[in-house]
Formats: sequence, structure tokens, C-alpha cells
Amino acid sequence: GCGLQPGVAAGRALGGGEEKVACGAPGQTLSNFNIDFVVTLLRQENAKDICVIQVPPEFKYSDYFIIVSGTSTRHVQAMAQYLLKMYKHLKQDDDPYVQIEGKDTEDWMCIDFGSMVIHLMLPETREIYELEKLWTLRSYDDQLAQIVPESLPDDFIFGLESQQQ
Amino acid sequence: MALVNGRLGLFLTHFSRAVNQRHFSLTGACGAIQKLTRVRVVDNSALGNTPYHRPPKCIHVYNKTGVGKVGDTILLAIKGEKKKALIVGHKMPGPRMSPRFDSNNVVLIEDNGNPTGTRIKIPIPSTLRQQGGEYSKVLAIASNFV
Repeated sequence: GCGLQPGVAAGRALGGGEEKVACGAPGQTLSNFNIDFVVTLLRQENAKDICVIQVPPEFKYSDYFIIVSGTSTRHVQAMAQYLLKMYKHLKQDDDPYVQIEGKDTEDWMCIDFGSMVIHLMLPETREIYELEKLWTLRSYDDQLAQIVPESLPDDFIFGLESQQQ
Repeated sequence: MALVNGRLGLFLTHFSRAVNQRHFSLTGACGAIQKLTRVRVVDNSALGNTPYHRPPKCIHVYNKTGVGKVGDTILLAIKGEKKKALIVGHKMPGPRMSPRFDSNNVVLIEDNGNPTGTRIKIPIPSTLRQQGGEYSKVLAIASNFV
């Protein structure tokens, strides 16, 4: 991609013309900032256990669901901030801004870029939630099966008002 | 309230006697979820699913108005403890093409925003994603979207 040059930044500060740092025609951020780019960045950052799940379009959620582990809180925070920085660098003016959710948590941060959602967690948190299982097995997930289905009590009569407490 | 009642009575005198005799009090329009609403916890957390002799009740809505809609955080009194929760559906009709639920559904979250439970079986409105706010975690553990 195009590198950020101090000369260009200074020119902008002086009010000198509409110089855009990003290269390419409008609407190209999504082709620049795509899944391969994100995975490359994560590998550069020494992210552990990168898991990319392709979400079928029927869910209308996003195209890709990425789950990544970090070594420590600081590592997770740094990765999230780095991704955000690269997105801000590459985005065009009409792309929506993206925020890091969970900035004040220690173990789970996520970022929702429209076509991709990325979750950065600690390995312990990953074990608790098992998001990969849910998003690959969907309705066959075992944690879902363990949820006891709600049943009415034996003495339930429809329409009868419950006693005032 | 009495004024409306009187006016109603005057207006309907020549229609039906029965209506004059009915006395009902009119409150202002109530909102979806406010203080003292009983809610239904919809995730698989232990706190939300163990039976208790009192239903979980809202005790505060983190909002300028005291009325909570889908996507607002509230404080619940559950099993004698205070816990934050996120509203994911209410019985009050909202914008036209948005889902209306038969119960006031709520997902328990911690103070830092992490969900307490690990799965949500009940359908969650997909409009949560478009609303600004930190909902991606709740959407990630949901299995059903509406």
C-alpha cells in the first residue's frame, strides 16, 4: 500500500490542497483491507491460534468471523489498536468508523469491520466461550444442547393470574 | 386524570350508561423497560437460570430517560444481587419493521461488558449490530437471529 509520508501530512496541516494519502479509486478500501490483509497483519503481530470462519450469507451477519488468541492483556490491546490504525490509514472518507469494543476488559476485545468481525481473546476466555464451536456447528453446538429447555410446572393453568407476592 | 374521566363521561352520556360507571385511572404512557419491571433472563448463565422466589427486576436504567429499549443497559436485582444486563427485546411495539417479543428479554453482562452466560438460545434482533454500542460480544454468543 501507500506509505504515510511526513511531507504529505505537513501539507495537509498547512491547508495545502486535497491530497489523499490512500491510493486507488473510492470504494477500494474493502478490497485493500480484506481478509488476507488482516490475517497477514495478525501473523506479523505473533497472534496465536488464528481461526477464520466463513459465515454463510443466510445469517446476514458478516462474511468472515475471526477468532484470535493473545499472550497477555497488553498483547491483545496492542493487536486491536494496530488493526484499528491500519484500517484508519486505509479507509476512504465514506467508510464508517470502527471502534474497539471491550477496551476496559482484560480478556476480550472485538472489532466489527462490516464484512469481518474479529474477536481477540486470552486463551482462558476462548476456552470458556468456545465461539468456534458455536459458529461452525451452529445449532448442533453442545453447549446449546446442554441448555435445559424451559418447561412449565405441573400445576400450571393457562390464564390464571399468579398470586401477588 | 379526573378531568379526562369527567370529560369522557360527559361525552358519552347519550351513548351508553355503562361507560359512565366505569372508573379507570389513566397513567402517562409507560415505556418498555423501566424501574421495577420484571424481566426474563435469556442466556444460559447460572445466575439467570437458578430458580428464586422472586423474579429478576430492573432497578435502574442507564439512560437519560428512565425507559429502556433494545440495546440499553439496565441494573437488575437478581437473587439478592445487583447485576448489569442488556435489553434484547421487549413487549412494547417499537419501530415498524423491528421484532416485538412476547416477553421482556435481557442478557446478563459483567461490569466490563463481557456476557455472563456463554450461549443464548432465544432469537436476538439483528438490528443490534447497526446500533452504535458494544453488542458484538452478545451477538457472538447468540445462536438465533431475528
